[in-house]
Amino acid sequence: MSHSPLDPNIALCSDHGGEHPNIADLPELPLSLQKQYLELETRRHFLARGSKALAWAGLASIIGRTAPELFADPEAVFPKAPHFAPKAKRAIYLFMAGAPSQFETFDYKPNLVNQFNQDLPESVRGGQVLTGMTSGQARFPVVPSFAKFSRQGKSGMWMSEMFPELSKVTDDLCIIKSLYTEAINHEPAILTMTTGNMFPGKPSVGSWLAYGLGAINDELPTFVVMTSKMPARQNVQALSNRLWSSGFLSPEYSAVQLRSGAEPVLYLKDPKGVTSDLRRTVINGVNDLNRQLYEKIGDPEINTRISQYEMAFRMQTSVPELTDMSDEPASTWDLYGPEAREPGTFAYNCLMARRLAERGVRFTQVFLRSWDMHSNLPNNMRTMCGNSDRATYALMTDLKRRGLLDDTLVIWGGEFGRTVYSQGTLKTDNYGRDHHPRCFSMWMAGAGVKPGFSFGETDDFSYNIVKDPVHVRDLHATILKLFGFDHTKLTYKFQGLEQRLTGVLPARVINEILV
Amino acid sequence: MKFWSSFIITCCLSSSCFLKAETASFSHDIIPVLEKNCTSCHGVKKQKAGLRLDSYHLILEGSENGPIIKAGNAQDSELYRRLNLNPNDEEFMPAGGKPPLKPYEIELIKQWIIAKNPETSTFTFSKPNLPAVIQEKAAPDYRPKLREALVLAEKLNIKLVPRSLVPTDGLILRTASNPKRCTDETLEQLAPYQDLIVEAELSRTQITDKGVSYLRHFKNLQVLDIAFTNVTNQALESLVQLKALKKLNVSGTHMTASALKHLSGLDHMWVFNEPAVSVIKAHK
Repeated sequence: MSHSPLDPNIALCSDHGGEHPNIADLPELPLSLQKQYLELETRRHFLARGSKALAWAGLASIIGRTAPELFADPEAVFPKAPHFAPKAKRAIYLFMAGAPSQFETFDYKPNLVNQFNQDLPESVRGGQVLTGMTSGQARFPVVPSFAKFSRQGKSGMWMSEMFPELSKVTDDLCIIKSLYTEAINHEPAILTMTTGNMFPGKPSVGSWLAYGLGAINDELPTFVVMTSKMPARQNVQALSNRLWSSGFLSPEYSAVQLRSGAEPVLYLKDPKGVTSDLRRTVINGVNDLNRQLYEKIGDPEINTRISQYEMAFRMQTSVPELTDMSDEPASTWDLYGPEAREPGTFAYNCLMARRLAERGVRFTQVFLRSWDMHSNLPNNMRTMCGNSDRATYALMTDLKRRGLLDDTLVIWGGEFGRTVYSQGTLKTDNYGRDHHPRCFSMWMAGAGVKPGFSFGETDDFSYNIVKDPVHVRDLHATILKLFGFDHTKLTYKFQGLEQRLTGVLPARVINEILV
Repeated sequence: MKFWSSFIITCCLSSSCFLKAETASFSHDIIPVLEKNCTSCHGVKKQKAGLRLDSYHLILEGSENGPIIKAGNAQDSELYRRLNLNPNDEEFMPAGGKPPLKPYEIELIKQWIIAKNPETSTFTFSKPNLPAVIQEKAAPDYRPKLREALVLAEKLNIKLVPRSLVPTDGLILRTASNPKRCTDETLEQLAPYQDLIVEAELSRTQITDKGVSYLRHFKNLQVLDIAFTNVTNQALESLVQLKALKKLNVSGTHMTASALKHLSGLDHMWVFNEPAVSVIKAHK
């Protein structure tokens, strides 16, 4: 039981976390001002736009803080601002759903060649519980990577022949080989990567950034998601909007999905026979009704709804401009290749991601699925890498030459790793790999990340981490740091907790990979 | 421990860092560190683990688990040990995700303990100089002019946003919502706040060489993005005036790579002109 700081005789309920009495408890204030205050106060919304600054300044004097006092407190004036000067202004996250194998991509294990088809030593597995897909196997035969590796760039990092194009920008990559997660199946693992928690309902990384930083460009959404056409279909996992939902944060921080085809954003176009003016009139009318409802019951979700109608209206202009690629010079198409002309391909999405970054979208997440290779791995790997290698290289190069890579964080990776032993029948030229959460590889590049740098080590079987483990939470804490946030202080009060992306378990910023 | 020791080593290896001897005392130097970092939990209001750190005698009394200082021996002193743990360690202090003490604060406590923690006499303190970048102010405190600046920004249809909550990190001039509304006149009108602006995001705006000439007085401008504007080589004479400038993006302008050679003091510069692609990256 705590006491009100204003009046020690007022005991505050413990389940309210001891908040001060709010403005609604002060009956001498005019009701209209109370309402205005609540509207401004809710979800750190006030001052998101300049006009509210004046309203707030006027109000400040009434509630006991003079305007100069208020403007002396940056946190009150700027509810959306990083804790310290950030390195990253925006991020592009290339999510390789299905979990690409680390063996054929970034975690080079040359010694495995001599151990082809030998049994994985029990000591390495250490009694780990396996998935139902391989736990019944009589043997766990080791299988080396079919792909060859070579040293690339000035950094001399080992790169796979699966990525001949990406290898050209080796010196821009920061490869982390020691990520780990608790989740062993796709849905919980993808949720862990996107939201920090394997249970649905938490805000995704992009939503936290939208909540903490606000928009650079008010005409476009702050957080955009794209899914890509697949060159092959094997064990394709469903993607749902809970992966890019704002969870308990206001719905305005959810991602807007940009689709391929005639309608990039669904329901944005005016219906046939409805003019833009008529549409505007309808929206004004709906907004009026919503405002009346808000005045009656004061639910802040109603304000969100009003702002989303407005955002949709603005996107009627901004999205066609965004998706019209006719202004791209020939050098763009030379770089990304002909596939980039086909909406929905990974190459098209990479180019779109660059256009979004250029226009100030904070967080763009591009999903590419079909990396789940339990069998027939060599062939599928060739197809998937072949499909995505050039586009990934093109995006990196494009960002670099336009001066965007310096403050754009690029992230590439899946949700877990794969096993050193073969799943199913092992042949000299064919094998599969099962899920493996104990270690996997990712890379980051750009804004504030050490270029041409490799971090973390796994054992000879890429089964266990032997040096510098990086939990998904650590990765998230590091991403927030790049955006100027202390991950323990970017919080939102919900269900009695100061909720945060990294949750309640320890998380560490990986300072070693930062410039 | 590992984190801080590697941090301090990094500091000391860099050439800008050297040790400087000073005299320090408990009341002048130790108490402020404790008040800033510790006494909200170990003081008058709260006494977690029965420990108070708000006076010399209370510190010597220790916590409910025993003494926290072993005079003359920092390594065996509980206070010093906990300050040096990995911040993720359960026993790390300050607890509860509060920021760790600064290296020089920890060093101060160490040398105070080594000096057999005198209360009144002074002791020698060798202060590791931190790299200048940590203390550097990007711009004057934005708070005194903030209200007027935000009013003007609204009028001009641009945004002035803080680089961070640290008031000396400066403001960002942001135009992405509607770049076409930003003209040379916009930059002219921002003159009263020119010292506060450390980044100017002006790509795809209407600005010309004349606009850039107003920018020459933005003496704290570190980052300038004028990509895809009609700026020409004429702007060069203004750009060379920007002494704080570190990054310049002139992709898609009429500026030519050869003219930009004069700006050799920059960390990064991007030039991307169609159809030729050229990237110049100069290091100080």
